[in-house]
Amino acid sequence: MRATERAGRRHGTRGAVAAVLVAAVGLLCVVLLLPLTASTTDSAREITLVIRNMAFYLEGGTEPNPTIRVRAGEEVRFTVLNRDPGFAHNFVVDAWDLETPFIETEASTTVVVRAPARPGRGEYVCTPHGKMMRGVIEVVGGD
Amino acid sequence: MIQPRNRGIAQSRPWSRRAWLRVAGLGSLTGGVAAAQGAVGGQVAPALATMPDHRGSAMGPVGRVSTDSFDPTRFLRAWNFSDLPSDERARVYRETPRADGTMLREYELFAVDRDIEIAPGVFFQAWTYNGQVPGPTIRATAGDHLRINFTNQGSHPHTLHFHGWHEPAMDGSLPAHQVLPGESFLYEFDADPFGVHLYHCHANPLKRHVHKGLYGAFIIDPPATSARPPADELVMVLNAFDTNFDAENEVYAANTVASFYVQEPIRVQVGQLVRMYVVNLTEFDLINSMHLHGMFFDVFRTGTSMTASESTDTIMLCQGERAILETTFRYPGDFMFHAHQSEFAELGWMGLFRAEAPSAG
Repeated sequence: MRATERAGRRHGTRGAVAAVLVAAVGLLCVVLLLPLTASTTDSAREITLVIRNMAFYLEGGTEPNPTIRVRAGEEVRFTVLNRDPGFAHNFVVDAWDLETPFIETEASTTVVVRAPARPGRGEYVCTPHGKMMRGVIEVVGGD
Repeated sequence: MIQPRNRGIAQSRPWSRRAWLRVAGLGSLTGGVAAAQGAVGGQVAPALATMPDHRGSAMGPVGRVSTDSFDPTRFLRAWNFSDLPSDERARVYRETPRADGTMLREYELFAVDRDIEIAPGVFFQAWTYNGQVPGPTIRATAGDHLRINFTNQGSHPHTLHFHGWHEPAMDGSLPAHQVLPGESFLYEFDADPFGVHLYHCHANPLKRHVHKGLYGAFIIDPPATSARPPADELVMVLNAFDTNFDAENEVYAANTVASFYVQEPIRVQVGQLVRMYVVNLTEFDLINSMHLHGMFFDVFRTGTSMTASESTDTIMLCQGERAILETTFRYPGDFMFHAHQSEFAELGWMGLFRAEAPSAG
């Protein structure tokens, strides 16, 4: 915003038009990104993943790197908790264009995304430990 | 006598071992006080005027290291992942009896970068096998066949280089043997000869890959027909850490954690044979040693003979050298063991055995 204001002062009317345009584009971006970042309605599906011993687990689960199933088009809130001392991990689903920042030990990150509209199978991984921390994420038909 | 010279080093190099030791709180409290006082002025003050109160002397660091991800007590008596719950163990280790009575042993080993705690509050950015330093102890019987699937999940090329008989392709040492990050390699060889050996990364620069933590003990037992007598068996890997990349070690230990066995003495039984598999993997310092108080032990160098070569209370080990030590505690109580390089001992390579009399029942 600061750059826009400066441009406005320097170029008068043309600058003001540009500022409005930039602001409009910015607003559009915010609206588009809202479902990805902002807190959403309570209807979002909650999936909590706990990382320990270089594997993902569903909260309370015992199966390493389990298959995660979601419904097509549903809103999903992933919380990823790192309980792996000495490691930084992340959670990446290429097919969904989803990538969390690195999560330090005993920290967690939450990301809200909308599942793809069409059923299919993708993979989730931790980037630096992708040979061991890798599982299937499955999108099934909505009902 | 050596005090004035050390003081000079401490002044010109702010992160010398001595300065580091003061900050980390290792060593005795009085030692720290003496060093701090010594650093003021160029002359040694008259002893009577500055005599410190020696009653505050303590041994080892202040505070405790978390044992959540690595427990040196558990490491002592764990091999082939015997310390893991059975389902977790099954994912990294399988043994299959073969027709000739020997065993096929299959392992999943991986290299991975991990921050490990080597002294209370002191973290080291280690390169590890399976997330731990030392790596998991591999143990087989002479004649067994080993198959080790190695995956590199680290940030640098790594290898597994086992000591013992094997074909050159299984040596994990030449540039062509490097396993790049994200890649895997299957090492395969027979367990030969029996003894206490080691494995380590052999990627270049070798000393960095070793000192970062890529090493472990490799024990080959004699064939069952000539097995060693039953004993309380302990694995001790002598190691050290260069925390500031000056090619000198600041923290020394048996099994990674400085002075851990001072705080948690190794429990043994009076009258029971104790067998120690001692492997020296200290980098930068040419030799290391182990001295046990109040008794003598039998030495089986490299463990390749069933006959002890000497009886002593101090053994010297070069880098990569190892030995089996056997003794039987005669008296109950605490017995120190440590490097007889006093500097190593005070920087963490110090521990206690706690011998307990057999219960009267």
